[in-house]
Amino acid sequence: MRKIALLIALSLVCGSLAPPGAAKADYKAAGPKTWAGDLTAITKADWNYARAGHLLERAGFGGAPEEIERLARMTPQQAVEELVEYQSKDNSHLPPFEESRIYDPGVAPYTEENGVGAAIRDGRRRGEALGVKTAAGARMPLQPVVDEAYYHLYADRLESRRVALWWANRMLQTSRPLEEKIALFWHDHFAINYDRVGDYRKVLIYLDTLRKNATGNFRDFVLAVAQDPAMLVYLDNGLSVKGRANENFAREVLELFTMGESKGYTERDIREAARAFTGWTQDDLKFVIKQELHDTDNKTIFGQTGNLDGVGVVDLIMKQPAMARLITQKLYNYFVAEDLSPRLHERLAQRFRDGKYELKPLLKTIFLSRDFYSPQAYATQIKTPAHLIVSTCRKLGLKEIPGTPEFRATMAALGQELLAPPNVAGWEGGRSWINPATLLERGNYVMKLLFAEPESQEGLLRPSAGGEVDRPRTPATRSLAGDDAQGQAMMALAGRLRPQRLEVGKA
Amino acid sequence: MKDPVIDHIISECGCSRRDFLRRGLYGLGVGAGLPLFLQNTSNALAAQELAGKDARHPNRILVVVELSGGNDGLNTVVPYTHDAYYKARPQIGIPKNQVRKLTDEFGLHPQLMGCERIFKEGRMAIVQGCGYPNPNLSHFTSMEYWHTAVPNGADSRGWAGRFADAKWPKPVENLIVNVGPAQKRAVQSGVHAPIVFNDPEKFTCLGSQEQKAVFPELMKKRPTKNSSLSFLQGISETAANSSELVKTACAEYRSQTNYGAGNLRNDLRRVAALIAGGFQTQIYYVSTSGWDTHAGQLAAQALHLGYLDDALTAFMIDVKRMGRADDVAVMMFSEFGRRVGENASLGTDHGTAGPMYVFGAKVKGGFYGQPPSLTDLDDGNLKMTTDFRSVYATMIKEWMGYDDTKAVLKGNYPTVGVFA
Repeated sequence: MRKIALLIALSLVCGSLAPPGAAKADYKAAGPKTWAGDLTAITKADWNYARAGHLLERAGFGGAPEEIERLARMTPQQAVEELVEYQSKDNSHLPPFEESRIYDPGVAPYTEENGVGAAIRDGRRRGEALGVKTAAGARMPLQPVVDEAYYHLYADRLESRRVALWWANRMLQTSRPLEEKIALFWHDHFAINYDRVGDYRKVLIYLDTLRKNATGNFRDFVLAVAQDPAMLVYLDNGLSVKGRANENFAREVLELFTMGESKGYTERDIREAARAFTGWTQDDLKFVIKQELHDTDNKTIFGQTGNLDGVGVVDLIMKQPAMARLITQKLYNYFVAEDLSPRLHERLAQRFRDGKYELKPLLKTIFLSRDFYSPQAYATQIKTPAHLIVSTCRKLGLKEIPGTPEFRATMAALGQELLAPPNVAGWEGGRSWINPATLLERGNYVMKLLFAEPESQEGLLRPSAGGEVDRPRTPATRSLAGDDAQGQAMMALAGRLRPQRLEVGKA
Repeated sequence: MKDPVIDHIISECGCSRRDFLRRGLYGLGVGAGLPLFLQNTSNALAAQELAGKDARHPNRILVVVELSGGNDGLNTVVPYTHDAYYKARPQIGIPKNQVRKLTDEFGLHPQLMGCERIFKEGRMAIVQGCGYPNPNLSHFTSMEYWHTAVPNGADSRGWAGRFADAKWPKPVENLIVNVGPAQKRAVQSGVHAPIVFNDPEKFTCLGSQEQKAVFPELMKKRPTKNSSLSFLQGISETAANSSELVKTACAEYRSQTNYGAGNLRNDLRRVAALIAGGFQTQIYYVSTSGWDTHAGQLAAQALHLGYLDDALTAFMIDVKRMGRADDVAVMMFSEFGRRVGENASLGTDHGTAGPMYVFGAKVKGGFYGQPPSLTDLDDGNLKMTTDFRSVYATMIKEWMGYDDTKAVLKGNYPTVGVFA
């Protein structure tokens, strides 16, 4: 275990690919080149430790050798079934989010981005806001309100970041790796940003929406997201009213969530769809339709005319061929490979349509396919920062995301602060994770995880003259080395990386 | 090209002439102690050698500032004498008495006081109505067009990357620097690996001396069929070569100039640090966001224009202070302007054409291009009057001295005449 962990750490330093976890990681563990584009299911004869590791790495966050061996002993069908039909797996050991109790009912109207402005406006008009009175007669009478507004803004920001760390711990500790791995995919796809939403409670509901629908029916998912309070706030749909429809929401539903940019809809479709969504808003944590603000006149979308509302729009979208293409493309890129041949793409899209947009059958097809184990898919994926951190911790046997190096700072430096994608299109992903700075940062992350003071590692875990180890250890090194001499020798070895070890990095 | 001083230095440090050409004096670790004029000379020599002896303007630097999110052009360059403007924007139009008047017709947003001064000194050009045919109102698509200069093009390279490949066909280390958390498509080049970094302090490899000794071996390129691994190895090499140089240059930069607040202050200051440090970079790319003002535009845009003004002004001051004012030009753009009419949320939605801006000591300041009509609109949006690629062509040909803009931009775009 320790030796493997060390070798994996080295491979992480020199690359960020997804080795299958075997000590002798081997490019030949991939199937033959002819398997590319082949959706035929693999058989027990095709199954081995390396391929089980590959499956666990993609359908989850990888794992220790014991976990991989367990999957390798099953048939591939059983392994995929266990990972995809995860609902029976007991997750009761996962703690609910522990709230800091910063929330105050009076805060609800002020949680959004211009909440401070709204508080100032109300303070001026009513002499109080956020449960705080203005200081009449003082030099800056609005200051108490402003202070209270900023307190809540910052408190919520910190609490939302705690939610992100709580989620990362779920990724590490869950018995249902695919549930969290695909929830991460959907977070990128149905992107929101906690800063703009300004209410950690909505973020928790959003994550719940993602998890509940993650492998269900896609039409129901789109509707659930269109009615999610966090999403409605993030895309300003609350501001979209009859007569002045705000296009932001409708545009992103069509462009990003379902059909893809300019793939089968026009600017006019967007404007008409925006009218259909008017009045769809949220009241604190509940989705509501404000009928008086909803436009009930006829709209024409995709050539269909009628008094369409949001549900009608979603159902119309489901009939458009572009939709299956977008979703299957993105799922394939996330789970399998960067390049998807048009032929395979159309086959997957057709399967998705034929399956009435149920996600589980599609995922099982993909995970069992020869294409999934072909050389272009095997050990070629650049891990997302979240995947990198969680899989590293899993392989080191850590039970919890360590406090140091700091999780959020690391993720931000790697380009993926959870719950804070750069914009509504999510993260670009793939090779864009890697530039000179982020690649160095990946290596530095591993160094900081293993060595408390990477720059002065001399004597870190080597006994000093008196036989005592007197430098602080990180949770990782404690886990790895224990207090024994063998462990310390291992750490000393880590300081003397030998070229032969580098073979691991190639997988 | 022979230069006795350079040759002397090279022989003293025991490096090869090839190393000098690839890395410049700074890259050999001897740059820090040298007087600036010598560094500049050496860089000029290096760049000239690499570009070929007929290449013009070997010292010149292009800085691109991208405003991501669609900055509202009409509230930035305000048509303060036009009734149509105030009719379309009863709530968010900039009041006439607040506009910083530049001509009888147009003025700047009140927060742009530094830019106003630069304009009055004749060093700021404003090209109005920039856009492209069949405008796209999606951030991502429109920005992609501005990055590649070719709508629906198959080339993965950006316009600045293609320009770099054309003018410098052999790889030049550190030719392109992109300051920011991610690399912009615009600088994607076939030949040159852009240096991408955000925080120079973190742009380094951690490890003890023992470990660091092994990293070159770890990061060495090995033949592989795994295209992802091959890609990683390439980036690794770039990172290893450049990170220490960047870190040192930024750490050693001493400037008291106040770059204000906001993200751009760090990025432009880092560009200044690298220029001062004698980097042979000739294309810098930075970006700033916060311009997507669908709601509450007055406060949001004022905030970000204030940040922008401070950072730009400080950068121009620093560039002048270090004696490179004649060598530096800044081009600024956004992926679209916004709709003429305000929306119900005291903001504006995505639009089409907008101004582009060029700053520099060698700029012939003033207004260029036709102001777009505020009444003859395209479904509520401005009709463009200048293709944005003309401004790109201007920077490539007039500023950087490379004539074949047709090949780089994949089309014929007349230059605007912004430079003396």
